[in-house]
Amino acid sequence: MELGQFFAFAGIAVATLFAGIGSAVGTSLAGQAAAGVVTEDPDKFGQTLVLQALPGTQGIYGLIIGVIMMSQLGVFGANIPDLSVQQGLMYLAAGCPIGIVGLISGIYQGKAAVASIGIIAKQPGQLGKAIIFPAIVETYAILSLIVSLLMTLGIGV
Amino acid sequence: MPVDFTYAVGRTRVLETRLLDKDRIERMIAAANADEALRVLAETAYGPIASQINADEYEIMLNARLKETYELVRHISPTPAVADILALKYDFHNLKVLLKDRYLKQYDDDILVKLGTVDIEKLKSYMQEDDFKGMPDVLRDAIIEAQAAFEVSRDPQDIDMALDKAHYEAVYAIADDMHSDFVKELFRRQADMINIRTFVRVKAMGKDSRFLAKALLPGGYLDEAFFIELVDQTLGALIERLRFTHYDGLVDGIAEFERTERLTAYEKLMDDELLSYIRDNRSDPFGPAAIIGYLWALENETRIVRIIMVGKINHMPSDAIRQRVREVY
Repeated sequence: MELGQFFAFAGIAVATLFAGIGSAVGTSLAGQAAAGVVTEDPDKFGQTLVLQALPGTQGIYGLIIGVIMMSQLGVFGANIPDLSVQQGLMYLAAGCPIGIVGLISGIYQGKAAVASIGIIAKQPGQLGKAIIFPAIVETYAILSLIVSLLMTLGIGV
Repeated sequence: MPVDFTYAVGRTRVLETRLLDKDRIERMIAAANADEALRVLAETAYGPIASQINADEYEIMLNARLKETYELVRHISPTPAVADILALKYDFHNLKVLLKDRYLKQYDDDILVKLGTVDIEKLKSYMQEDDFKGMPDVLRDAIIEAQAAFEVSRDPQDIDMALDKAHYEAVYAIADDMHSDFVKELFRRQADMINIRTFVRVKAMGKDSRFLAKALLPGGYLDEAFFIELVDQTLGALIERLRFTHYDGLVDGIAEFERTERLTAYEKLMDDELLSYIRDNRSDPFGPAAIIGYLWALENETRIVRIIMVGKINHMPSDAIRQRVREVY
């Protein structure tokens, strides 16, 4: 395999790997808090589940970028075109925004979700407001998704 | 890495909603008699026991509630330290009783509290056999120190003062292990508030600064020198100095003492101030603040219920009870 192809694969890995870790940590944090609330009050399962799912999106964004890169590169067809080192590095760079921002925003969105689960524990009628706080964190994951997406499409093989 | 309390905080958030609220406390205060006050608790967490006891047996109910809550907190927390740090006061209370019994033979089983970190029967057998090997280090060291202090002076008060000092040292040690600024600050503030009360009492008794230094708790923000300097001045000077500290909310209590020679107002303010400090910090979703706050709030609540029940049983007017009742969480 050429070095260019290796760097392109590294780009796919960065996008899916780190965004996935961010979501795993974030949903785990929120899941612990949700489990605590549901132990005492099982009726709150649905509401807390919504909040737990919020930090899960980063992993999906990472996957989207990864899949688009793989389809551009023809990975599914088992016929990967030759890439220059420069092209490979561009894929790596394109994977970074969603990878890095996904990792960090996933964890911090999880923390905001934990705090919002505290709202649900005490004020079950305030789900709408409780969702907004962690949803603000989502904005930055979406921005990095857009940038990663445009970069990927801009490379063109 | 600090211990993660996320799950326990989640549970605590729901448990907090089951604490007695202002309305229910007010209904208890307004109740016509003790039986009716007890009946107000029927639909609360006290309900199962409240329905089976007479009004004058309220201590059984409060004790059971405290015991079940301590057990629950120990069960849901990643570390028992959050419960231990508050339960230590019961251990030290029991030590005081048992140690004084050894010298003064004034034993009374009723005043031992079964909420400590060490089982009360074990504690008794350690003391009877004079064998402290199985005892936690902090308690053992405290006993040895208190005994030494008593051997010198033969004054049972020295046992109390030595154990109180050891109690706060033990509390700070747990707080350090928890790496929580909130917890450290909470107990330092409490030590200060107790020291202010001690200072006022010592002054009223006309004791000297040597006695004061022995009675003060360690670790507060207001150090020994602060109090020693004020010994020969009026209480007004203390009030002026406190106005520029965290404790300006307490000065009314000291002024009240100057008028009435009673510390009830000060003690209510002290409880309210500490509770309000906890309330300001309970929103942390990851640290121990919410859990310690919940336990603290529950102890506060049992104090409120006790004040009301005592008042109702003694036919105190509702207004007089209302004045003594602490704020709720």
